[in-house]
Amino acid sequence: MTILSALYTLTIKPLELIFEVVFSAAYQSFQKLAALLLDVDFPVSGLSIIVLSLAVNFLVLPLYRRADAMQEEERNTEARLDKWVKHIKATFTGDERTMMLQTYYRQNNYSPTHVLKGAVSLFLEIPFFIAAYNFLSHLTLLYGSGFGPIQSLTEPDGLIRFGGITLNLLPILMTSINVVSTVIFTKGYPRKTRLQLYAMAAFFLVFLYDSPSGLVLYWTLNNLFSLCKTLCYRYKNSDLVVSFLFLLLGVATCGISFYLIGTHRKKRGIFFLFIGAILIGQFFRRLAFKRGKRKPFVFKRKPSPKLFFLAVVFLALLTGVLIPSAVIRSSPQEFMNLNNFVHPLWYLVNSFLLAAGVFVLWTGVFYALSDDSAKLFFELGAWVLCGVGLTDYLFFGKRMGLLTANLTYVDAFKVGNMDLLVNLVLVGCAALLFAFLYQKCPQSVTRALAATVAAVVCMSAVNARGITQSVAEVDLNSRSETAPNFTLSRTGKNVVVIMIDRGMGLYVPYLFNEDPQLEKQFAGFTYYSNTLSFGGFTNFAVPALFGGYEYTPVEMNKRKDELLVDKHNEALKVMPVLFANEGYDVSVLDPSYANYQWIPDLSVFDDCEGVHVYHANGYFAGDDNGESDILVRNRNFFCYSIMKIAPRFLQTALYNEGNYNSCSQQSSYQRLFTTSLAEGEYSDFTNAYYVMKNLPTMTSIADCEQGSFVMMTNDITHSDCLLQTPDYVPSMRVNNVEYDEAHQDRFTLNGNTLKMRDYVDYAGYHVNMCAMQLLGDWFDYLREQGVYDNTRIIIVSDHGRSSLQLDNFALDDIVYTLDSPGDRVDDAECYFPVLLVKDYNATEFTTSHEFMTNADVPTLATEGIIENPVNPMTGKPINSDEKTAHDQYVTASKDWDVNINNGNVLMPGKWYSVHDDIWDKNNWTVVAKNAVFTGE
Amino acid sequence: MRLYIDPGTGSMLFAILLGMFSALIWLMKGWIVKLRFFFSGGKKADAAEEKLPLVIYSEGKRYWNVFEPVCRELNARGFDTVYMTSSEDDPALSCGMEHLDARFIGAGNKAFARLNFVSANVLLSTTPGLEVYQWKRSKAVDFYVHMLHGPVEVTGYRMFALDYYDAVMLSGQYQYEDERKLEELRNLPAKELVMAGIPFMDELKHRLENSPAVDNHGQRVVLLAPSWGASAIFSRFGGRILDVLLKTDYHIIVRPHPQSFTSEKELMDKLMQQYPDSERLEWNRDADNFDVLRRSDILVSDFSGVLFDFSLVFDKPVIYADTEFDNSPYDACWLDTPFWTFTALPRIGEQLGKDDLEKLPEMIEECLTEPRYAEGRRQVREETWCYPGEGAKRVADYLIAKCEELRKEEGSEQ
Repeated sequence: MTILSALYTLTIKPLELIFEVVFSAAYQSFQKLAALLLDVDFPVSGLSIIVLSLAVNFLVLPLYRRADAMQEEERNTEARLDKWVKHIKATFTGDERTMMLQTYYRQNNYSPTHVLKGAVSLFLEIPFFIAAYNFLSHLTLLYGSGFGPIQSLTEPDGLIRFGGITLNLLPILMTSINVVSTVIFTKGYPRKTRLQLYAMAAFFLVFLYDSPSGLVLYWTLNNLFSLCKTLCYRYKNSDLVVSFLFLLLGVATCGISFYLIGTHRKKRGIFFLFIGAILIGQFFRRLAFKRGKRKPFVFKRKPSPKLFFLAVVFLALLTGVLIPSAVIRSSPQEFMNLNNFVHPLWYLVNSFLLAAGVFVLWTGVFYALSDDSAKLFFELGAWVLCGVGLTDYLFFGKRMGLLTANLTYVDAFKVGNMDLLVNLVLVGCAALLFAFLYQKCPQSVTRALAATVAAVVCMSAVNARGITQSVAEVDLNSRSETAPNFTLSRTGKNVVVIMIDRGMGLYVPYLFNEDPQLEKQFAGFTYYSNTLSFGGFTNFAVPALFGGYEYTPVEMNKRKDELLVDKHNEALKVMPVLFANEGYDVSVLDPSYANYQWIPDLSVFDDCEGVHVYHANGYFAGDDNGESDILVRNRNFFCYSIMKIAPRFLQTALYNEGNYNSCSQQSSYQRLFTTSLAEGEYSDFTNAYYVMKNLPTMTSIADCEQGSFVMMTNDITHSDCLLQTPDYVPSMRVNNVEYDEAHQDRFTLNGNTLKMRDYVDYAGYHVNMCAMQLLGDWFDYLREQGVYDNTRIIIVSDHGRSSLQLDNFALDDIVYTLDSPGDRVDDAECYFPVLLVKDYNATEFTTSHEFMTNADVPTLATEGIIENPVNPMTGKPINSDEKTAHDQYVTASKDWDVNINNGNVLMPGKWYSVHDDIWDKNNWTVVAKNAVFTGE
Repeated sequence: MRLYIDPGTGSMLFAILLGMFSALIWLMKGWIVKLRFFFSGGKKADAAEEKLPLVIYSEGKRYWNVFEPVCRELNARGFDTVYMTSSEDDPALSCGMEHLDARFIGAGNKAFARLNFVSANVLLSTTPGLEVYQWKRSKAVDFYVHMLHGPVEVTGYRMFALDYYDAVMLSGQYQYEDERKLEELRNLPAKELVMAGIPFMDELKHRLENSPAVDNHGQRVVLLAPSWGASAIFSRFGGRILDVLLKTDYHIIVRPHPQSFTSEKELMDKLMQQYPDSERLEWNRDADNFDVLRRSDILVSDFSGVLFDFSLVFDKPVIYADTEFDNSPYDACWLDTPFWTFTALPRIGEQLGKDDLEKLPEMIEECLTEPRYAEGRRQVREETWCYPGEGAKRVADYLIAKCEELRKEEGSEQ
């Protein structure tokens, strides 16, 4: 980050963000309004530009008023001094004239440089207009949008046509308004000033004539606003004029409403009637105010800039540093991309600059320009916001489920009614309490704020230290310089184990049913429909998957003298070392949680001779190379913080389906509109998607006897994303409305219907389908290369997820709600992983209901090719005897975070015992409710 | 990215740029003045000296007569004073007063640079324009006192002349009123306005009283003491005025302004050649004008301070040339009240208009014989010369008291 870009982030970016949120909110509101009331094409973009123009102009109005007041003061001073200035200029010459003027100005506390003081407010307006311009000129939402007779807002309007000539109307309109404004504004001004302004109006007409109509529309509206402003300031009865304008508009709107009702368009009629009533109400309200019936509340005390400053600094630190640092610290490496490395602390710097820009700089500017009475309101507002923000952050929104590195929740974001109510009451109480304290003991408030700011700084520093330490654990040199790849032998025997994180075993029959092609591509595979995983999260389930029954959670707990991370690493190495020792060419890609690091620490394989290790995730991410992730985090950490400190009833709108009201299409997450409509790409998904898509590229074929062992993890199924049907491919604009309507039956199979309730269900289904189709394509490639038959392939997932889509998997009396989905550990779908196994030369796709666990993978992988396989780490035989020796113990713990759950044994949790058939609820028994369980 | 500009912002930028441009020009003018000051000797002077109780600054030796009575009074009381002068040959440097430390500090900007950093409790001066021209108030000086060098109005200085002094020594109520009015108009803090009298006129009067009587052998003596410049008597009337005077019985003494012999040398040479010294006419170039004033019965002069010296001290009539006076550059132009000098002059003598040359002998006669001029001199003296004979004492009293007061304040602060 350069100094210039830091300054930009501090000054312009906050404003851009505000305008983006305003535009986005307007855009979405108009979309909803259009859907609700009007069945005709609704000019959403154009109307949103109007709202944006109003927002920008209303926001700069206080600055304008201040500038106007200062300029008037300046003009008055100049008029007052004019007589003697003229006299001095006429009487004296040379240096004496300068010195006389200096003295005279000094005696009157005036200097010609004061024009700069008056210009400060005007100068401060410029960032607002730059921000709005920057935002609009990069707004892709305008592409293809029209507004009334304007065909496209991204092209000149070309509205006037005669003969063969086309002229743009909007620039002419803009200039006309500008000229009228000048005529009114410069009344009584010298001719020179008027001429200058006319010349400028003409200059802008020529200069901006060919600009996109969206921008010219925005400027025209700005000019119109400026004209209204000038009228209001010029004419004493402007208040009355505005009041009557409200009345006129109200009556006109009511007239339209009666017309609509008369033509049987009642809904629209009622809507317009409502708007009309509001407008007429405004007329009466303004009249009442004019007569002095309402008097503004006035505080009886002096403003305290110290209190205000501390409050806004606190808010900036809370939203810019503390909350983001707490998120990053929970798993710092999730925020790193080895192929495009940015230290996560930079996200803090960025979010702090944004927060400081919003709270300290711009709120400070408005505070500084306000009169004493308004200053007190600013102070009260900032202080109460501190209270409300802290209450929301500390006591609410704690169980929202998993948060991705792009600050979207894995599960659907919903706020329950009770939560809403409790929050409203508590936040209301906090606001009242803080207001009371402000009124009664402002000095204590200042002291409390100073102490809190110090505490936030300390807590942030602790978080930053934790982040730095975690980042230091990553070997940055391990980033892939050579492309991840592996070799398959044409003549030897190959074994491939691909773990798709959170792949849903439950979905497989539905996926194969929807896409019959899959069965052909997966020819030779056996789908195990009764497979168990040993936990609902990767840290519990992966060791057994890669290491076998020695590494089930219970067995890990039994070895209580060793660290979990060591046992985890050991499990990862079991198969690679075993196969390497047997002379196989071994490749390991993205081994899950290696060394308990989010970005796998490949150095754990340093002592494994003959094992090639790679980071593949994100390697094929394309031209973007993680840039969009960085952009999104730079923007959204602050937005996330704002959402966290906001009352619950605002959070859904602020979260905006993980979009945080962004209008950018260059995003690393999807904007979700419905379960069938979405925009943008989810970078976590694309990082994993392109690895799968590039499996053929990564595969080298060798004509040698030496077989290969490939062990790979892929997160494609862990990154929920709506894809474009019917091909299930990522798309910037997903529209599955027709397909979903036409194919609702795809979720019913053999009388069992998957309940598809929300986005999570659809997106989860989509990514599982995508994974299967990409794997199918790769199998086709292997067939073409002649290595399919001599390759044993195991497609397995570590665990499933809870979505309560089939009733018989509900192990407890849990009822589906959208609240706290992360708590639903009593859903057996969590423990139903994918297990698809193809042995050498197998040709038919079959389904087996044999009781399996994903700890069978090492047995399946070695079966028949390694005689009496032994775990090279422990010397114990590798087999599946344990599966039938006793019931299997599954941990239903929710402590998935290896930064926390990293002792010698797993943290206490709930445990189930399962046997024979996972589909039968009766086979599931709770054996411990909150214990470090060892099977005894 | 395309150049950003939109009409609103563009207009704003344009307005701001214009304003900034004007402000910049203004600032540059100020810097140029400072640079000129710097390059003409106004470099910061080393002022690392102990704080002095009282400093008197004299622009030149011609002001020694103004300061001398005060210095003598201070010396008599044993009050140590530093006298800084811009004349290398200032009589103060060799006056031999025990408690007067006279120093030559250079002339012009060099002197101001020194004064701008001088350290003193009180600084007394007759120089107007403090803090207006290059002479700025020193941060190390507590109190600036101005003393007038003529029995005339305070508004006769160029604009803002006394605005940054802390006190002014006055000699008439009208001066007090004018100064207060200026303060009010300019919203300035009230200065200490002290009715002190006019020490140098006291001195002249004292000298006159102690001088022997003049014997002109019954012949009237007319002193023609023109100023110099385009509007001065010789430039306007040339030798004709001498012709007119020589037609009378008076003895004529011509005493041009010393500057005339430099600036109008040709004219002077011509006149001196045309009208050489004779029984009836003498050219006088004495350094001290006391004797010539004492000898004269009437003074014919341009508009200058000597008119009042002659009239009020020697109690004799004057004839003053009709000089066009434009008050625009002066503080007087701020006030509606008439310029005091122009109310006083008709009372002490006659005005010589440009067409009145031939009437000059009659005017002289009238001035010498009409008792209303004696009465006018009395009135004017009363208006503009308070505490006659006490000026030096009063000024010294004030200065010493002020120094002590400030020293005491300093002591209590420490």
